Order: sequence, then structure tokens, then C-alpha cells
Amino acid sequence: MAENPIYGPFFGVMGAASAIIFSALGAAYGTAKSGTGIAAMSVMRPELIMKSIIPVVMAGIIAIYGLVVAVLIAGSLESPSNNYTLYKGFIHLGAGLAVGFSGLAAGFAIGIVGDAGVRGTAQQPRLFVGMILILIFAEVLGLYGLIVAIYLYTKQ
Amino acid sequence: MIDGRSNELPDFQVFQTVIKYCLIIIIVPIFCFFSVKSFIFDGLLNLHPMNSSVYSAVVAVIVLHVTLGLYIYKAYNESEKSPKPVKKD
Repeated sequence: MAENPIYGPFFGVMGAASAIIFSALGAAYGTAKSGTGIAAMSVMRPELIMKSIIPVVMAGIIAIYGLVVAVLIAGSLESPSNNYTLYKGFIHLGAGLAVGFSGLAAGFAIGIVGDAGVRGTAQQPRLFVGMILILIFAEVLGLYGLIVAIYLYTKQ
Repeated sequence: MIDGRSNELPDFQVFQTVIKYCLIIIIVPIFCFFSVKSFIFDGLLNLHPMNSSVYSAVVAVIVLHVTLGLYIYKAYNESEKSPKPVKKD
């Protein structure tokens, strides 16, 4: 295919990179922010460590979403001479940006909710169920990005 | 709370449980992705490579949430069943 432009794969590569970069950014913020909450809380209530690791695990899952999409995109990158159209490049960029920025937003939400929730759980244990629910709703934001990214990725 | 230590698990046991579940959460979905892709979707069903990647990604994400649910269940039950110190007088 001679009409495939040489810069087509650039968009696909940027999509794969932005998927993992922005998801990892959100996951890192979530881990760090809830980690400070856990550290402050554990001084007085060390028996709650296992419950309060949950925001950290959920922030890690955000990075796994980005990893999945980045691996999917990287698996279907080709050279322009191998029928990699500009349309495919745009699709891959869109998929990567969708999961990347959704992961960034979800990671921020998990970090803030995890910090306040873990500190609050130390004083009122019945807050735990509410914290888990809010964390799940924050996590689902990243899952929506993953669904849109996979749906975009399957368009050819 | 030093005097509250009687109703919590030993440190090493908590460490073991957390490490075990964290490794499960990290390793099992990745293992599922590649094993399901190569054995079931590519091997048995002979799907197109793109479709098999997408389906195995979906399977991996579902497995990931199942393992996360197991951890939450474990963490929730852990502190519920720890007996409160009985006051003796």
C-alpha cells in the first residue's frame, strides 16, 4: 500500500505510550496519597493495616488497565508498508488516550478517597463499607475508559 | 495502642497474608491473559489474533476483579472474627 503515510505508526505508538504513562501517573498518585493516610493511621491502629491496603491495591489495578491497552496496541502496530493505515493510527491514539486519562482521573479519586477513608476508618470502623463503595465507584471510572479503549481498538 | 495487641494477628501472619494476596492479584491475571490467549482462543478456537487478544484481555480483567473481591472479603472478615479481649474481674 503506497498511500499509507510514513507518520501513521507515530500516532499508534503515542497511543500505546500515553495509555501506560497516564495510567501509571494516576496509579502513582493514588498509591502515594493513600499511602500517607495509611502511614499516619498505622501509628495508632496497626491492626487495621490489612483493611487499609485496599486503596493501594485498587490504584495498582488502574495501572493494569493501562498495561492491558498498551499491550493490545503494541501487539497490532505494523510498519506503514504492512497495511498500517493512518486511520488505525488515530484509532490507537484514541484508545490510548481514553484509558490513559480515565486512569489518571480514577487514580486521583482513589488517592483522595483512600487517604480520607483510611484515616476515618481508624476512628469509626463502620466507615469501612462506605469507603469500599466509594473506592469501587472511583475504580469503575478507569474501567469505563478501558471499555471504550477496547471498543475503539476493535474498530478496523 | 499497646494493650490492644491481644486481639490482633501476629505481624508475620498479617505480612504473609498480604504478600500472598498481592502476588495473587498481580500474577494470576497476567498468567490468565497469556494462557487463555495461547491455549484456548488461539489453540482451541483458532480466533483472529486481534479478537483473541481482546477476549483474553476481558478475561484477565474479570479475573483481576475476582481476586480483588477475594482480598476485600478476606480483609473484611479478618478483623470481624478477631475476638475482642474479654474483660475479666
